[in-house]
Amino acid sequence: METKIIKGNEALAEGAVRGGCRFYAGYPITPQSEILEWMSWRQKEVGGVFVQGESEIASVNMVFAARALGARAMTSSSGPGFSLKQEGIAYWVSAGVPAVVACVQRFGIGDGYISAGQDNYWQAVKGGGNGDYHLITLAPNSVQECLDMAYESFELAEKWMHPVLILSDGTIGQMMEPCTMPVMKEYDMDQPWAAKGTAIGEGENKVITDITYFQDIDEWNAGYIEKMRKIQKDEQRWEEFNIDDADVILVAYGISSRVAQRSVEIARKKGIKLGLIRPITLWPYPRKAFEKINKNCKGIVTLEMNMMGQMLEDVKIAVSCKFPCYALATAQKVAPTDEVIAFCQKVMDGKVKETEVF
Amino acid sequence: MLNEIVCAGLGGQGVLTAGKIMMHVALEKGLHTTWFPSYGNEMRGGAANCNVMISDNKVASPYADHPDVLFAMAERAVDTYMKTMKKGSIIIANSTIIPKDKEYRDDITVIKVPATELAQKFGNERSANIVLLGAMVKHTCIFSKEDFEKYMCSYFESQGKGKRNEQNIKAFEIGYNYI
Amino acid sequence: MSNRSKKAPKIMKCENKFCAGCGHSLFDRILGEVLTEMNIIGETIVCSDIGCNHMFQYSMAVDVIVPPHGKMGAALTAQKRVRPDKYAITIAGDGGAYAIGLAETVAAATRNENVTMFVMNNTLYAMTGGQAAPTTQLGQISASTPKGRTEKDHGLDFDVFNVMRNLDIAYLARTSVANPSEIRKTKNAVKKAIEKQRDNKGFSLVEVLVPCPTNWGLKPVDAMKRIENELMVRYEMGEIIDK
Repeated sequence: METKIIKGNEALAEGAVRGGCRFYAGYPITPQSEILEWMSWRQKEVGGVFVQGESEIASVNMVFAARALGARAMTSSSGPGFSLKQEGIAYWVSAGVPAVVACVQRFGIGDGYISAGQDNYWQAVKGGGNGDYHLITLAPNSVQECLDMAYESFELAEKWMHPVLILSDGTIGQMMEPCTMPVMKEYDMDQPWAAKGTAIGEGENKVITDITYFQDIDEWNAGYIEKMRKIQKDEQRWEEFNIDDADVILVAYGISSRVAQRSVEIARKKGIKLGLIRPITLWPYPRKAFEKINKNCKGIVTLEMNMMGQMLEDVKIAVSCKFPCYALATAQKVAPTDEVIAFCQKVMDGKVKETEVF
Repeated sequence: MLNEIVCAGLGGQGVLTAGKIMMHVALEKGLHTTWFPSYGNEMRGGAANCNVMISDNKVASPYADHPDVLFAMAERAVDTYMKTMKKGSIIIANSTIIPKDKEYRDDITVIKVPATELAQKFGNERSANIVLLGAMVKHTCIFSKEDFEKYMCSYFESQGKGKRNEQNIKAFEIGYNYI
Repeated sequence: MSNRSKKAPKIMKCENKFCAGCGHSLFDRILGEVLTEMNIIGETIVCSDIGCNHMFQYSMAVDVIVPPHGKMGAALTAQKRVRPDKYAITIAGDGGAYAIGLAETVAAATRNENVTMFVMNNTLYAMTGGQAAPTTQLGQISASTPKGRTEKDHGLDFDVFNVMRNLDIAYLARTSVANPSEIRKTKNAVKKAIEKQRDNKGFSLVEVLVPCPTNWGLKPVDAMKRIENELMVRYEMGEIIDK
């Protein structure tokens, strides 16, 4: 298999293409535009469709239609553009359309900032649009994972007939690393569930919409909630480093997890026992990972590129508040390793007040 | 072995390309590597830098918190990064642009090479980054000269710019042989 | 009467759910007949708007997708590009196509996407209870213009001909369902618009003036008279683009 040095965003686009994506619609926004630009020539090469939509709203709804007709289809955005897509994504959920969206997080509220951030966490994993739902949310922390997750995303979405979100960030998206390319997957868009036209006498015509219009709502709700609970149980993924004997455990995803891992490496060399839990799925949140924490652990610290420590509440739920929990939330920059280690040292020494959840 | 390298200067000086070449050579040598850019809103003329990590092992953080090497094309690069550099680290300074009397930390080795001037004399000011790469390869022990030349050429070939490789080798050697 | 009426084609699978005198049911029947006569039901995927118009799904046996309200211009674009051998058609409302979805409608037209839009203009938002739409006429009373629409308070109304007449599209027409002659014209326009798509000519839009007796506060017959006496006078009727 060939190895190429590419940007995270390009890897994400290429992973989707090799995973069978044959329709992409999007709108330019920094720091995700490389996905759109890559798709603009690559879809043509593989016989797929690229549309630069007139807005994020148009793009997300183009993906609804393309996916409803069977094609593996995705869109991507960042910051305010991701906000604009939320209505459309909610429609994917209610119609059971297994489409994929990527959000390359930038920092800030409203227009915000064009550089990396991790402050879309709440929006991404606590809903986003209206109604009871979570997206299956994957958080890559390397260029290779951008590719691998996009490559796998359609099968995961189709397994549950539920959308998948790849929640990247500006650093993972813009950085370059060597990346190994998997083989191109073939996909037949004439799936049994897809709308492709039904002649009279050929059977029931397809209606791809919020199913509650056509089914008993209580029955639909029961099936839906059962599915969601099953996803929650079956799809938790994480990675862990040195947690067995750790005095303090860092919890971080995406770019922050890279810095956290480096911090653990440096601290261990100095005899400071740090560990790391790195959620790979943000929904379902990998609560199982927290069951193994030793009872002598003095604290759990989330490392996040936001101001409010958005992930802290999920950590507190995962450990049922049995351990003191802290957020090292340093806005648009990940804290440097020195600062991370110093903070953890203070936690060990009991010199930091527990962080309150916003 | 983990080398934290920062390439910094102004947009248009080729600092991002210098970093990409290092990354490419590292990959060809079977090393682990990451490259992370940051730049201002301006397409040209603003600050530009990239962090390049090169290691025997998988690279965790792509951020060079404490650089081992600063590849400095402009004065601002020194002002921004010198304070966080490791003891015993090295600055490869483009002394055409960075003032001669610039003060440096005592615990850092500084290699001053007038890269822009040498490139101008050689006939292509835009090769200043390659000239400075020559100096860097000589004064650090991350790459051998032969490997670097070979894979720098294959990098440019992969970018469809192989035609200028002869010139690039010349520029590289001017920097390599300067001190 | 019964032995003179034409039998509904099989695509009209059951009774519709529209209010008595509603124009949508007339239009759906016209479309059902055209799809049947052209023998393309199995090659058609209708993109639904959201509003009264979307109730065609209950009574028509044709594949349907339902994106958010108004976003048909975008969805049709994707439909046609993903499955170019299928017909991409929408039955839209005037609020969907001209207010919340105006950007998508005009963008699909400016790109000259090979898709077909049928827009039902009943001069208001019907399903939500008769609030003003871009097509609400000056002076018209609606649930959100209780004293009548005025230029000063509500701005001027929308005419799709003014927006699209200079675009490089295949077909643009306005008809109504106010009387048998208009119904025939509507059926012709529907057929022609779909033929444009069949022949890869590009974007077509037919606006159909339809009555909403419920929200207009008129008897069905009087609602038809309003179309004849007021709307067909105010609007330019017929085909203005036919390429």
